[in-house]
Amino acid sequence: MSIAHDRQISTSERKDSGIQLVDEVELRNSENNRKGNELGKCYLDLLPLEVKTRIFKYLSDVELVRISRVSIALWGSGEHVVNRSWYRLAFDGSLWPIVDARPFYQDIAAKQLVKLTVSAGSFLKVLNLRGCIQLTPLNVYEISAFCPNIQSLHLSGCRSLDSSSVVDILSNLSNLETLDLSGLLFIINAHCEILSKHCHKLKKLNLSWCQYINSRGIETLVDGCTELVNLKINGLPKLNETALAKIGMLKNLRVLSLDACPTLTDSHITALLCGDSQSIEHDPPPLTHLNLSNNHNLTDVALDELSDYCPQLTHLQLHSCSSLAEEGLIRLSQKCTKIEALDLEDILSITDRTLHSFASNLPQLKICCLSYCEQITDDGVIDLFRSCPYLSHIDLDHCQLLTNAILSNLTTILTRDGSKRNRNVQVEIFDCRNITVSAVKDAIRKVSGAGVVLKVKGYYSWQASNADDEEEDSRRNATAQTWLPRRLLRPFGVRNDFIRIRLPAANGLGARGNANANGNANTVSRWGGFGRCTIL
Amino acid sequence: MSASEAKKITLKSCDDIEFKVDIRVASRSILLKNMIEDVGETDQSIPLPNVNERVLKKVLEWCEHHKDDPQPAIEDSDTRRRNTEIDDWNKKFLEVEQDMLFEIILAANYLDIKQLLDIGCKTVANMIKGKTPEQIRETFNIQNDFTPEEEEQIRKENEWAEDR
Repeated sequence: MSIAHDRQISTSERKDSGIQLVDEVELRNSENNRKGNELGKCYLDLLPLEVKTRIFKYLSDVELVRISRVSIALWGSGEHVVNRSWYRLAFDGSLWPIVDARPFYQDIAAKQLVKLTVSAGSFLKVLNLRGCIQLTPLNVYEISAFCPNIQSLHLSGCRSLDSSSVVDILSNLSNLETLDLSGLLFIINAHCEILSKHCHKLKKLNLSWCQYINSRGIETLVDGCTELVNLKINGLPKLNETALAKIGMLKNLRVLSLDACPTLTDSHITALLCGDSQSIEHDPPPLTHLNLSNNHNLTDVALDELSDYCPQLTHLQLHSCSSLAEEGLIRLSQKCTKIEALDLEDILSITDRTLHSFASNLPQLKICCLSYCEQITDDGVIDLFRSCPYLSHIDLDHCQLLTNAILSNLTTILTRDGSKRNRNVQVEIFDCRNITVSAVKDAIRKVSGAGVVLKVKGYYSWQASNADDEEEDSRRNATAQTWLPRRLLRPFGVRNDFIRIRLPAANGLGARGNANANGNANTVSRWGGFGRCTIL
Repeated sequence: MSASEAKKITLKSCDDIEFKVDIRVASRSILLKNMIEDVGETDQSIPLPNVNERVLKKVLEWCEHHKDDPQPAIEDSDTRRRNTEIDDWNKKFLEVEQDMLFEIILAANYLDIKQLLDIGCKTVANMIKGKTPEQIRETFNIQNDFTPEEEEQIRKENEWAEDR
């Protein structure tokens, strides 16, 4: 194990901290040595540095920063210097291969962020600065100079940066594999060019809502970054068929997100899967995860193309694709039988016929969102419960025809013996007026003690579950007004769920965070909020 | 009883005390395991110049108790580890004076006994967690060598990390 303990702390760091880690400190030691002996013996100092580092590896980021205040000086002199400085140890690069500012991004000053990353130096592999608006272009130049080995970089929401600082850091990172620049409006085609030229190892890229990138940028990008596995370009307003055809040439592309790309039509999907009608022809990419939500021009033609060329799809999001008809979905379910997660929120054409088709064709279905599909009835939903043994999460918000029968049937199915059935189920029923609170309580009570975990979500302030938090829930349960229809609650200051439904990208939809517990944690950590946080 | 079970070697602590131990027990130490494989069977005692009798006895007690554990997988030394939980037996085993604790860690490091080193490090990490710098200095007898000005400055810089 090689650890750069002797690494000199950089000039900038010294300057930033204002602490003189130089000879003067060592001189101070001769006096301290005497004082030190008056205390008891410090047995911790018996340990060699690599063991101390090993101990410090069990501490969290903030704990490490906090303990840097314990001591600073090197002890002894000349060849016999003993590093007793917790300050130096805490900021040893080997302890900081990951700098993830998310837990404290609002509180930490840009200078301190730079200090952390620069201390990590060449050890730094993962840098997540999401939402750090305090970060300036100058800060990024500094980070870029000290950290050449970053493999994963997240700058989403760092809106105080500028175009050239991001060019600077990207052109230094030839080992980059994961990059998130989503929502940064100064990201333009030039950045695509830099990525294409310097970052050939790039596997996962998020350029969502970088609205000034157009087809030319995307074409350049995929010419150089041929290893891409995961590409998110939600909300790009100017994508043409050639760009989609080029994306389709990525041989390893498994995850693609094209949420809310207003120019997207059926012929774009054809281009993606087989090439455009002019110059490019290719085999379909091996897509397993596809997000086409909020594309109002897509019709059944697109679904038929998917049915023919993507039989391996497991995750498909079609949220608010208002032009889709039921027939296309039925044909899709007959061919793409590996589907595990489906988001069909707000596709008004869906009826029980679609659900019956899912029930007979999609045995792997785990997660299904049918909120605002107002035509579906108990019959179709119960058929899904019955036929899909792995179903673990279903959203049925605002499906006004549903009644208490879905819950009573669900409990019967869950408590019945069946070795393979998933027994951990979450149901969302916001704003289903025909489902009563007593039916929910009844359902929870029935499954208790049967080895079943059932969670039913109504309002933010109201949840029912027979899991560990039962007590808390029953307390909330007691406040009867929370079961009122949402519209009535608004005047009382309850969170506006209308916004949640219509602009889901605007919130994290934390309620769905665990929905994918049975899925593949590596490729899919989250199914939920659509738009900016999606199926991966 | 098969022949292999009976095989024993002799270890000699730095204060010249000899311990006769089962090879299987001694092999929890990668250092000893490699040595035994290289040298083959021997009647000569193996001197351990860095470990005294008191500590060696304790370490061998640990090896004896864990002689049937599977060898630990190769670790990913890169990432920080979150889990500092220690099972009851090991927790009790390490309920010792600080000097002993650190000597066990040193011995585990020298003898290359990864699991023992890990629980030792976890124990010390747990002694650090949740304490203020002042409490940490007190716990480990560390001299505060900051000037008051320096301390004030670094406290200001680290403010974002406090109270979390």
